[in-house]
Amino acid sequence: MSMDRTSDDETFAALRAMWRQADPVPADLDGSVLALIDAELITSDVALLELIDEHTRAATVRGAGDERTLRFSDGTREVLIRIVPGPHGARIDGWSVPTVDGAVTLRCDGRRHETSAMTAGRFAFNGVPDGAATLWFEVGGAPSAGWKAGPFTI
Amino acid sequence: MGGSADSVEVRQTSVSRPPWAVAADAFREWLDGDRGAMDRLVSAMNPVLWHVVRAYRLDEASAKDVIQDTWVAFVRSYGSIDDPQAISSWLTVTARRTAWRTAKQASVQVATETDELEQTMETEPPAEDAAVARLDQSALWRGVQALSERCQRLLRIVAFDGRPDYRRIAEDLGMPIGSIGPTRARCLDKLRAALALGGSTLGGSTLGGAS
Repeated sequence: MSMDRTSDDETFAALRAMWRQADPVPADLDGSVLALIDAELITSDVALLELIDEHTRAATVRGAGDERTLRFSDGTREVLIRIVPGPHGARIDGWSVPTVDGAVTLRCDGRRHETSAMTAGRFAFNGVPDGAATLWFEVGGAPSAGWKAGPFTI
Repeated sequence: MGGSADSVEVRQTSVSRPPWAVAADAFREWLDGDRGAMDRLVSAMNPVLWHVVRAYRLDEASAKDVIQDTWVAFVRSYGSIDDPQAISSWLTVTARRTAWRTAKQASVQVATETDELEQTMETEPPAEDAAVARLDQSALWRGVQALSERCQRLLRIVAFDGRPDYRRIAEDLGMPIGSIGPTRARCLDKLRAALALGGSTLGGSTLGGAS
């Protein structure tokens, strides 16, 4: 009774084409969804902090990478991070003002590193690989309400 | 800002890639700050969401509402999605759940005007897809219509959801998880039997099951 995989795949391809033709996606769906997403993002509780300042300090130890300090702000909130390259990935030390007490998440190249904010808004990550990164700060226990800093490169 | 040449290349090659893979890349790029990636995420996923939601026989306006609610839920929760690779599943499951609830509340029985659809099937030129070009589409349509509602829904969800989560589909359809695979096979068998009865073919071979 069982059919081979190719046959199933062909049948599903034909069914997809049939339903696409019989019941096409409304032409205005993408546009209305994108407008809705824009409106939601504007009114969402995520504060977007942009990179406003970056300093590089030459390594003091031979063979070590340069240390960078990045400052992000949206005018009222501020995040400062120091990135120190290491042989097994970078170490990132950060501070937030005002103090964030929830989880701090670093997303880097699709991977997620999470830490709890330490005292006085301090947080740290170890062994972070190179790549494009963003920092997320949870405020009040709700993932949808918080801060986002970045993107920046490690 | 960097990597725009790479992004262009991704867009050009994304035509033949499965929606879940395009969506995963777009979501990751959006999280990394590429605002234009949202367009790619939406255009990759909306066709999948549309057909999954319409499998619940919602009318067009209700289906649009469900899809919009799904994206609103996404904007409110994307920070908690652990794995960007799973964005397609997250959106599909959210849409399916919302569609299921909406259909249950409204008890919508008839969403598509069958006669109207049959007319469309007969007058539109066949799709360019090789398998479909050889297919008598109106026969396939009639074969699908002859299936039970549960079979139609299951086949449509599986056809468009590139990575169906059988456990959740089983919950939503009120079926034991172990029965989804056999039910899918039975639905396909019934469809093939119906097509074989009418002498229709698919992919160059007669669709008559094992006979």
